[in-house]
Amino acid sequence: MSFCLCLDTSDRYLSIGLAKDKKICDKICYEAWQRQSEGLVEEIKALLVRNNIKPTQLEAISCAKGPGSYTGVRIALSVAKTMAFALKVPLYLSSSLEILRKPGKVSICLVNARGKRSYFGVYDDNGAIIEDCIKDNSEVNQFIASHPDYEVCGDVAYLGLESKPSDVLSILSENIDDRHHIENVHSARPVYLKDDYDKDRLRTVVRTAMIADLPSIMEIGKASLKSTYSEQDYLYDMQENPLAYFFTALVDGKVVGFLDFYITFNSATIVQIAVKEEYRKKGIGNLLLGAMIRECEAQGDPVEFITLEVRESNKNAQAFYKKHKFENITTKKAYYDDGEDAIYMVRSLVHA
Amino acid sequence: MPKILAIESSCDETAVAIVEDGRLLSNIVATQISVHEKFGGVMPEIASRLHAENITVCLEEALTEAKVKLEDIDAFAVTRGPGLIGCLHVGLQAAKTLAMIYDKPLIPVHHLAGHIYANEYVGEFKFPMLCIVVSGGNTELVLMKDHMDFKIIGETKDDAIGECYDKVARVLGLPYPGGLPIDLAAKQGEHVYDLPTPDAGAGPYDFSYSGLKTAVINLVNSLRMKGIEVSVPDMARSFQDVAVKMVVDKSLKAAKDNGVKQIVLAGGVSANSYLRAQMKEKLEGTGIELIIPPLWCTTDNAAMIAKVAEKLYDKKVFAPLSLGVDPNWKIDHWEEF
Repeated sequence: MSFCLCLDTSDRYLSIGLAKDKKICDKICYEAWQRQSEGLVEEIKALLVRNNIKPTQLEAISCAKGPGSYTGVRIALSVAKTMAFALKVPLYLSSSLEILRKPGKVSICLVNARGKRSYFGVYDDNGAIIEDCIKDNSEVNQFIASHPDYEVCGDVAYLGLESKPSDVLSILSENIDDRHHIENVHSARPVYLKDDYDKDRLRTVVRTAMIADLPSIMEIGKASLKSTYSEQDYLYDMQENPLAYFFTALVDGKVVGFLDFYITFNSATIVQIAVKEEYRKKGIGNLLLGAMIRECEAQGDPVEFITLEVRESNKNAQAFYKKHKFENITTKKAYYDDGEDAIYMVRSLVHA
Repeated sequence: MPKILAIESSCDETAVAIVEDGRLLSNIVATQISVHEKFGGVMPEIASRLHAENITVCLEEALTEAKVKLEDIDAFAVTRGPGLIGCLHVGLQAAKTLAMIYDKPLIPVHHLAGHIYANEYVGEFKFPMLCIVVSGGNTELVLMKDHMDFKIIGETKDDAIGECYDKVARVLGLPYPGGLPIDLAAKQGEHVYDLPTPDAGAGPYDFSYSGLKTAVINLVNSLRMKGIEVSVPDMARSFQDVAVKMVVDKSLKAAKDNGVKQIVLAGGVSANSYLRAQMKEKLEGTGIELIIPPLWCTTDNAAMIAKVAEKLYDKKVFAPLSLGVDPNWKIDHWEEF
């Protein structure tokens, strides 16, 4: 028998379902506005205990991913991610709008986005007809009026309409399928919709490099720098080399660039910096360099300049460094193994 | 001995550490610096999002480095407060989920107790002990007569010292966060500007930083209006002298009045080189021992949370799965959750 846990805290409710072979066999649901953080894990335990099931017997987790209350969405998703990671079971994520739909109908799914706006999506049994988006409530009302045969779903009292309860747990249990499966649990993230952090901008994070980043770093290093570093070389800089600092840049949880540099007394040297080809000219190099400068400024003994060598033929990189106040100092003849010259560039970090 | 996994997510670092018998098996910190640099400060919503993205990666990394399986962990600890509420929620859910799955104790840890106990990685505590807790959110003098016995004997009546540094840095055109840039600039400057030492009023060990901040801003503005150039190093030096002197003076008075054997520094501002140097100098020959945390402990990490968790594990201070966060948790109420 295959048990699966279904979770949703993306609006005012706390909903937990235990599904057996894709059918909900027991559930706990109640209104828990701003009490989901306290209640969710305790109630999951209560549900499992009363069904005499151990967490390790669960074979899948299905969870709502938003849009909805930012904190609410994060609470269930943080629990779902941690469970899928710890139990090594597949994770399935569904739109918080999709799970409001009524099976067999074309459903207009709505959640109050505040500020006279709604999270809006139209679904039928095969998936989205109109993808999740944000609409002004006036527009939503027009859409509803011009589609009288569509079912209006969700907690729509805020639009002055009558709310009919949705069976979110049933949809979550049915959505245990390929379409909702999340390949990499680590990269599972909520859908927020309403923000500029999300829109038109890559969601880039720069952080200290981790062992898990190694395969991507190898790949990017080889492709971008003709780097001959082995995994051991990178690992040494990441973990043992007391002079080395190593940052990776991630977009949507995937490594797209890295920066390896050394700090020796009052100077810093860029050993390798690389960004995956399709992510270049998007400001990722700026972020990596910014993180480096920040690290230099945080040293107890001030770092006064940054030095680097760049291939004579790599004009793009030289332009990048020029833009970042590096100056062309000298040419090092036949610096590289293949005989190419290097341009030696330096940037001062001391205040003018 | 128990193996404890600790999670810290109270501000802008997602961190996981594993300890066994006081020994750190792993200590993973995913910082969010570059994102916040762009916005000139920590944006609570963005920080919360990044925690939700980073949390399982950090867990996996900590387990891999420690060569430990989740099944082998004896207790799960988490920062319950103080901190940014949305950020705290993420770490809390992860810790509660793990405690539930493996049916192991859940240990709620006070973030500032963590910063204080980070010093145990450097030396053994001797009581009575005075803790100088200085950070972007706190300026407190905490007296400890024994392990896990915290009494706040002095605190700021308005701004925290770190907050004051950030605002002064902004007026002087220095980057955020302001602690290090001011510290560095001050080394090149002289104390030439006259700034008042604000009177905290209330208790003998209380602080006030809002008056000092205002004095700097007013002085800078009035000089600029008169067309007089403001020397950034000199202003940084004049400000830092006054700001740090207040901490040093009140701490020394508190230490003498309470007959302490040891003073420890804790929190982000404890990285300040001038504060460290002044404390060392003033304590020389007094017989009072000074512990200064290693620089990696002045920023947020989970190793310090694990350190406190070991104490709580011995005392069997465990929380139910209905545990919530408390963004304003007071350190002397660490047993109430």
